[in-house]
Amino acid sequence: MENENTSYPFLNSDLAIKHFADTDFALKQGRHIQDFASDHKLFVFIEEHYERGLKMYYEDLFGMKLMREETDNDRYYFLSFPDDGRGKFGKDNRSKELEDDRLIFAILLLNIYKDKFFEKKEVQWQELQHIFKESEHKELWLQLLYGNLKPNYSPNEEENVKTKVERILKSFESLGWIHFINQEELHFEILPAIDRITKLYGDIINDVEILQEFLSNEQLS
Amino acid sequence: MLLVWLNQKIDNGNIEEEFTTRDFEEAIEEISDFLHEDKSIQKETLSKKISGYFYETIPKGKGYRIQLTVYTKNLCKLLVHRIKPEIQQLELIHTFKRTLPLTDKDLENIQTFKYWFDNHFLTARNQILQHTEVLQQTVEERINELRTLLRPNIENPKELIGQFDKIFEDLAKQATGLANTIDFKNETLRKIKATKDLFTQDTETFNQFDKMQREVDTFFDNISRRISGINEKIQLASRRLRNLLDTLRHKQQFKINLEKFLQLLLVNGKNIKGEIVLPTEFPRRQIPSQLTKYLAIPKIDFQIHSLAEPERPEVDKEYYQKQEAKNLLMLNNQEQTAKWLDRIDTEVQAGNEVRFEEWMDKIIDAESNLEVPIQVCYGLILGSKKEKKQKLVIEQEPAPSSQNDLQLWKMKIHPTRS
Repeated sequence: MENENTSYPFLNSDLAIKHFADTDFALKQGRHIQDFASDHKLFVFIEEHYERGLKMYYEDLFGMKLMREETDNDRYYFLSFPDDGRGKFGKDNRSKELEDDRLIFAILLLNIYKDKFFEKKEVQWQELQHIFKESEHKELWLQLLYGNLKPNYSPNEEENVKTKVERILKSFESLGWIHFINQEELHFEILPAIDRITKLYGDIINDVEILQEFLSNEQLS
Repeated sequence: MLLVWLNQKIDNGNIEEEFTTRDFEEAIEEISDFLHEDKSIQKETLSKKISGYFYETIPKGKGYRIQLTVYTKNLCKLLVHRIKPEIQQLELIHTFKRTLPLTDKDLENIQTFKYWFDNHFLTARNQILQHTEVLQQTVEERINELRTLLRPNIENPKELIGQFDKIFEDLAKQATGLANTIDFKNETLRKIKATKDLFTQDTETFNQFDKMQREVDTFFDNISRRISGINEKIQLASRRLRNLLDTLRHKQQFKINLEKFLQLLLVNGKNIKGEIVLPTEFPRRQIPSQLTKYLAIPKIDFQIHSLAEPERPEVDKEYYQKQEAKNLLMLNNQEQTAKWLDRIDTEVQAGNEVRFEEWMDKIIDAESNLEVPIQVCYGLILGSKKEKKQKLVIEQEPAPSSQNDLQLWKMKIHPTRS
């Protein structure tokens, strides 16, 4: 065939014609692809071609690493920056900082995910509310979410918090960290790719005392 | 509590089925002790309160004995079962092999079918539901206990994991046993549906049949979903258990650190005008995210305006100059008219008679056109009508040449005496 690509032969496969474009868009938008629901086809495509040129393709042409990670036998893929920079994703609008509220909720969901090690990772809004209002750290949660501590909050305040949480969860769904079972009722399943947060913040989580000390010193000074 | 206590004592053989008043009073004392209540409790009042519904007094020999009613015994059974559920070790399939299946005799008519429904199906249904509830509860309790495995201070985790593995293996057997009972589902439903035509003789019979059929159908459907849910939970927990041993220590430590990190985030996070914010010195990480759509409406700067000017029409210079000359001439005529009118008016004001034919010749000589004398004439006629101190007279006389039928109009203005 005249147009056959010899450097990246995977591009000539039938699977690539069907799924490469969608996979490429998803990865570049920061999505984590795992064997779940609508991502199943993309996952199969990556599995098939990961070592047959797909990994090299992103490395050579975008300076990025197509990562394969596993958590408790569940595999997922995502694009990651190289160790020495940000590849072709260093330009504006090609990368973003994980926002502070997203980080807090990602760590919360990772915690729940680990708690549910022996069961399905389904979470309902009531469970989150229980954490915010009844858990050991309820004062901290209420202060953070509502901005003040009160015995009761108005329906408007409650609605604002729910909207805020929904916005965060929707961004996690785009990243492939959760899947909504019922978005209106904020009923969702935490997906294995939530484990990515341990890759992003693993160094800090493993040495959390150092950060704790650093922040305490900063506050004192 | 007293009733349950008495029932337990009967079951354990501590008192007889038909017990004495003394046994009853001792039971009250034991309960008072257990609850740390005052012993001066009114035993007779209490006895009166619970007699009738809960126990009966029956004569025996010269005295009386007390017996708990069937209602009380069933109530105690239900309460004990709810508080301390026990999973029947016998796989339920053996029980239901005898009770659930439908025979041709059961489907002979609506009465026999109803008998099967009331005495076989409903009994089996209650047992299966009860069993399922207990199993579900047990599985959830065990899964909660499993979470303790991730705590760092457990001793001998290997042995503990082995024990849990055994527990879940047994639970899986129970679930399988329960699932096997549902094997009757297809056969039972098929038989019921096949005999539908037998019950169409009248509406009442059909409605009865239809109601029972729907209840059977709903039950099997409901129980299938519940068992499948329980099975899924058991399988997942068992699988995780087997994978846990190798990574247990690491997982325990990571979980502790993760909880500390979350706490650190919560302590340092602030709500500033509704936004959750961490201190600036907090380490932040980037992720790839190529945007493919606008996240906000593009900002439009109204300061920048279009420099394009409207298109000008083509100018006909010749026409323009002609119009300009014409307008200038008209303006000049008006100016000159006004001047001549002023001069004539001055003449009249001075008390002199003005003969316009003379002035007309002067104007034509000076202006070299007819427009100005005509305009002056018109102006004089209009002006004299308003002016009371002068009089305008127009005289007509034949033209000097008789060849033409012409008349000369002569106009003169002279001041009046008033």
